[in-house]
Amino acid sequence: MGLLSIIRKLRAKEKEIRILVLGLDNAGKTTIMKRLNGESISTISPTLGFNITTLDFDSYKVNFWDVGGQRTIRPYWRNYFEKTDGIIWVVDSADKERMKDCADELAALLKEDKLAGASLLVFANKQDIAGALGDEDIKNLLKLNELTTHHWTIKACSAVTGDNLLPGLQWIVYDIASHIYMFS
Amino acid sequence: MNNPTADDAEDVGNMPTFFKEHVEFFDSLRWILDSAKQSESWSLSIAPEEESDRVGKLIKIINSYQEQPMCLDPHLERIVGQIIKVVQQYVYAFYDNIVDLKSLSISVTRFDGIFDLLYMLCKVRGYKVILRFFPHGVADVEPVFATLWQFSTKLRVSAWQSRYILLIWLSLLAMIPFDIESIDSGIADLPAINSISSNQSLMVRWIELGKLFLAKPGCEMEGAAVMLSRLLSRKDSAASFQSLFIEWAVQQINDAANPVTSHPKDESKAALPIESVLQINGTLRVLCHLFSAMTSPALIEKQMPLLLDLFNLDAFDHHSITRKLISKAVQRLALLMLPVTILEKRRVHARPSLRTNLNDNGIDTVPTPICSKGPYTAADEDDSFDIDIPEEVEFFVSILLQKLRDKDTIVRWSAAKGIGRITERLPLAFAQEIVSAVGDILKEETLRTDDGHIDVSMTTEYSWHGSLLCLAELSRRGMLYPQALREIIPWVVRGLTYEIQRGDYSVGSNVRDAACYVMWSLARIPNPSSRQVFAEMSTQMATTLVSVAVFDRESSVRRAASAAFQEHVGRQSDFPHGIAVLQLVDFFSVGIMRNAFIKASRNVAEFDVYRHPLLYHLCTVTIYHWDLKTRDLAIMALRELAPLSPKYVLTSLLPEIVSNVSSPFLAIRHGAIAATGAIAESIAAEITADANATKMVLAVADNVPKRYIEDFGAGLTLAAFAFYMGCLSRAKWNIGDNVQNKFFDLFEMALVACKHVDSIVDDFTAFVDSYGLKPEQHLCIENNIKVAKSGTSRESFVLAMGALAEQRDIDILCSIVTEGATVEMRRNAAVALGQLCRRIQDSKIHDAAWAVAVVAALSQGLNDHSIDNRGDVGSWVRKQSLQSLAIIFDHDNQLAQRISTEDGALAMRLVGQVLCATTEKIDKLRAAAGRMFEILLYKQQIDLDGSAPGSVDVGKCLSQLRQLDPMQPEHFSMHESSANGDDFTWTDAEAAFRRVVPALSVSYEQTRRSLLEGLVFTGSAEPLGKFAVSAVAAYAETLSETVASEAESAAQWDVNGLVAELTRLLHTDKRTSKIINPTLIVADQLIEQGALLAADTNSSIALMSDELAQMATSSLLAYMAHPILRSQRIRQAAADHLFEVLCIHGAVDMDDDGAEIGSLLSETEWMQDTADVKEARSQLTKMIRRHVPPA
Repeated sequence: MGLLSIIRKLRAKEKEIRILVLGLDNAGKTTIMKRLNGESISTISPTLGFNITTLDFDSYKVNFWDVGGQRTIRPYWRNYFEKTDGIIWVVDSADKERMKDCADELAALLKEDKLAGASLLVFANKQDIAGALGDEDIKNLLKLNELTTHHWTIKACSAVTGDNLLPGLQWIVYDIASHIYMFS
Repeated sequence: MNNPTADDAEDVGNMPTFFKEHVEFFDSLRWILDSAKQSESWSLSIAPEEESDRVGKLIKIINSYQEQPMCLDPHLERIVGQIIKVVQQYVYAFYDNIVDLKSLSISVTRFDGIFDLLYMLCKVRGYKVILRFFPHGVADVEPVFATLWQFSTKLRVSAWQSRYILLIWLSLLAMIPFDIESIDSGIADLPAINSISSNQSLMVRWIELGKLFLAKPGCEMEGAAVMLSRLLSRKDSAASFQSLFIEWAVQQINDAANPVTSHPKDESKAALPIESVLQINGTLRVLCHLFSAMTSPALIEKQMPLLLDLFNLDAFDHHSITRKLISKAVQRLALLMLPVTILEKRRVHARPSLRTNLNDNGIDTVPTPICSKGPYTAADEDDSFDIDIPEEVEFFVSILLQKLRDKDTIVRWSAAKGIGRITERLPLAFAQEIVSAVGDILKEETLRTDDGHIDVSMTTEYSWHGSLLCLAELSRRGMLYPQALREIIPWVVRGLTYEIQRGDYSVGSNVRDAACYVMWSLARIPNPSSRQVFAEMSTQMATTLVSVAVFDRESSVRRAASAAFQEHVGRQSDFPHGIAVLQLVDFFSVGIMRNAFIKASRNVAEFDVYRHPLLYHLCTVTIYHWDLKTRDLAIMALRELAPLSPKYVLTSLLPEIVSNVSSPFLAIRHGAIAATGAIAESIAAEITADANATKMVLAVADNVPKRYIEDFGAGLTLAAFAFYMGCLSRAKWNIGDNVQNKFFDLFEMALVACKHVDSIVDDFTAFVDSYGLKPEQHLCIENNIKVAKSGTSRESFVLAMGALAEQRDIDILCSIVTEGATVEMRRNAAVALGQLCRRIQDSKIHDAAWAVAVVAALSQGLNDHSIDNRGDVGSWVRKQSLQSLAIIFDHDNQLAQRISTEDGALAMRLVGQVLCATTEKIDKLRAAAGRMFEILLYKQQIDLDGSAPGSVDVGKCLSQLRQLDPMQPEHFSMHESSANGDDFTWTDAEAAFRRVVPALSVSYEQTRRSLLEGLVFTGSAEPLGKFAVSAVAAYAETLSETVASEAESAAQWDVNGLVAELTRLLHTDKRTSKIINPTLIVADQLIEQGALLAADTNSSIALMSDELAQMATSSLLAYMAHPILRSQRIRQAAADHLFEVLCIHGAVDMDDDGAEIGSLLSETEWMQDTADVKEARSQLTKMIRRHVPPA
């Protein structure tokens, strides 16, 4: 038995879940990650590479992969030994100009067959900024209602205040767990 | 996997389903259960046929989910629920039957298929999940128990799957929360098993029933063990039955381990009989389950001494599974004695929780991250961590530490996990002791070399593997603290390259993999204070991991190293250039050995930090690897990497490598010589600038003791030398006369000694190009062709002649191509001719006489159809001839012109041969021909107004072919690969045939015939025949269209011509069936496809059939008097056949002769062995001859 099969087994045994945190640059991915990790959010610079963070959520062990906005890291979406269970797509709700870009990127992303079956949580971030679009608007702009290939939900949130992060995570973790850890 | 469809979604709510056969599955299941429900059929001994068929299909479907059983989850409740409901009815009826002794007897085997279905579900998804859907009411207990009891009395009849399912069902029922006594109705009418009569209580009988299965192999043992452990850990029975059982078990194991033998003296560890092993394993299994189900060590306080004695015993651990079970039992006992309090406290400390972090958010205040509470030190662990550790635990841990060194992987693995679990529950001081004990296993029997490296050659891979697995477990559980890490990491890094030579292979890939596991789990330590340790050691860890990821022989290890690297980059971010390097050594790029060794390593070496470690690893480990292929790749990698850091290679690595060229170990010697060559070539400028280094490199050939290049097994050393000399030659080293002589001698020896000389000849060619040959050396090669001792070496020298360049060399090679004694000689001569011409083409091939001689010889080579027991060996010669022709014509676009001027017939013949070769069956051969074909058509220029008549014909022929080629020049590219830009390739037979068939319209008969012959030969045999025939058929159709309209076209060729050509082929050689049969087969196919319909019937079909009839008749007549005694049947068959044919053609009724022939044929007793037969036959012959003249 080699390392790769050990990893696969441990993943099932420890009830691990793998979630990719993605979005356009400056959407606030790293801020959300720092918030989740309980770290200071006073200094954030563009993420260069990728960071894996593991956090316990109830009985599950959630691995967050913050891979930055870089396309070159895409091969890691599907790891050799763990598949992607969920995607957190972070949207800068105040950046109305790039909303079209954002929708296109998301649509292209969901076509990846390596992400088939992954649950999708859209965070409409930066609600603390005046004039930010609400989750209903963003839902329409991203055409989420037309999405049939993935389970999805959208939550308006603010990484700075921490509002609504927990309900979003709760949804995605339990949505994933309900089908991959149904009986364990 | 499919995307969920709307259809799926209906069935299981909103859940996407990946159980794609579920509709079919449930339909079939419903049918089966309806059939099984009919209680009238329960007395059948087997299920009705359709039922068992359908069950078989369902089992197959379920089995296909073995890899991804989770896909079944959303449907499991429905599947198992439906099945078990029917099974329950059956069990109830079975029970009633026993109790009431009804007349209806229910078969024990009727439900085998359905039980098997349940078993398959358990196998695929695990029995624990499947059991959730089993009914577990009080009312089920006795029926299930009684059924199993009955099944057990008929062990031979009932299926083990059925008993297994009943056993695990009983294990579930054993947990009902009611007193067993209160359920016990005292089932009376069960037959006795092992003298347990019906008047015992249910509990007693239940336990005895379980014991019955403990010595059974396979699933029943496991099922019974689970059942017994559940039963025995019941609150109401624990006190009395449990301790009794443990005592029984210990007794049982002791008895089985110490059989009373007739030779009491024989106390050595002889292998136990298999029954004893099974008995021991089964009993141990119950103990394992029992210990893990227990809640307090107080329950077994009394039995503890007994158990300690048992595990102290080593009399019964021959079997690996036994040892694994012991390791399991021991760790569970230890865990039972250790409270979980410490573990729980540590867990709270250990991992950050999302909920805590988020609830903690005070606005703009920096929340205190949980994980920054710091490392666990002794100070962190207050008095509550100070628990008493029972003495026994120490004993158990020592057993497990011993088992880490076990020779079986499963035992080491189990022990490693056990130690991990136990350590988690121990106070820090004790835990650290265990960690260092595990680390110490690595240090056993190791030596430190002078330069600080760890020499592991005296260790065993077992202990290293076990220890590393255990360290990984400890690390995963957060039990490696900074101090221990600092101590251990260098050893783990050493483990990454662990390899021990054993004869001509090595062991240790499992150790390297386990070291990657440790690395991987180190990356997952969340503790920030360990980061500091990593920061100190990150370069060492990163560079070694990368070296393993690109240079390990095993792809699994390369990938494991890549995975560990990724984990570090993602979680610790302290590896230099982590992200960039990670993308160069990802899972896919390290998976393919060649890519990993050459491309990935080259790319990573661009980074300063990694360059020297990679070179160091390459030059100290990989180039000396025992595996030849690995060494060769390492040498190639070295050529790529050395120029990146010439100075380092020159000063730090080269001296060590050169000192190894005289090593007594072949692999090391070979690697060192070849590596010296690789370095000498790739950084030639730097070395030649350094007088000492130059001397060192040139002295290599002198430093190797003579016996290594003369004795048996010298081939590999000489091959390395050839490579080394080739390298120096390519780099144009200044070598001097003496060395030139020495090199030539070595080449000669290498050509004699080596079997595969292709690369040696390449090196030799480079040598000749750079330093030339002396006349006597030239002569030496020529002589070796004639007098070398073995045939193989003569062949090698023929190949080596490609490096020469004189008129007489060409003559010799030409004569070998046409008259060489062996097919290998001819093939090698064809190759050598091409090479030779390529090398001298600029100067001498312009001599037309030479060119004609070479092309004539190669054209002969194209006719080589030798066959021996290896098959169509002539194809080697044909292929090489084609390739050499392609080389020659490719380099000189006037060659065809010159050859046709000199010898027009040769040129015409060559065009035909090449066309014929484009229809070859062998893909590679066809591709070579295709390339030659394209060169002829599009690269050769022939002057159509030329004076020589021969060249005009050839020129016209080629220009016709150009027009007929459906692939026009814009698709044509002269790349080495036969791919023509778009999707056409000659290796695709179907496309190739379609492309060449139109060339049949060429107006030169000879060319046309060659092509048709090729098509007929290929068309008559599968698997490509059908493509050839359909291409010809399609072509014939286009011909019939042109018959009317363009009859006046230059080609003067129509479908009649095609038929005539086929007919002509039939007549070429009537003695053998070599050409006749293929032609007939193809003609038959063409007629069948209606391709020849347009042909003028009178013209040739009639002729063809008459001719055929004659031939057939004469051979049938010959058969009719077949002289061999046993051939009566043949005669009879021939007569019958002839009669049939005559009838069909109406010949019998034709005239008197016809009638007489008919009666002769039908009335003669052809089976007899008399003169009558001969008489009848000669009469027949006479009469038939009147109508059919002899063929």
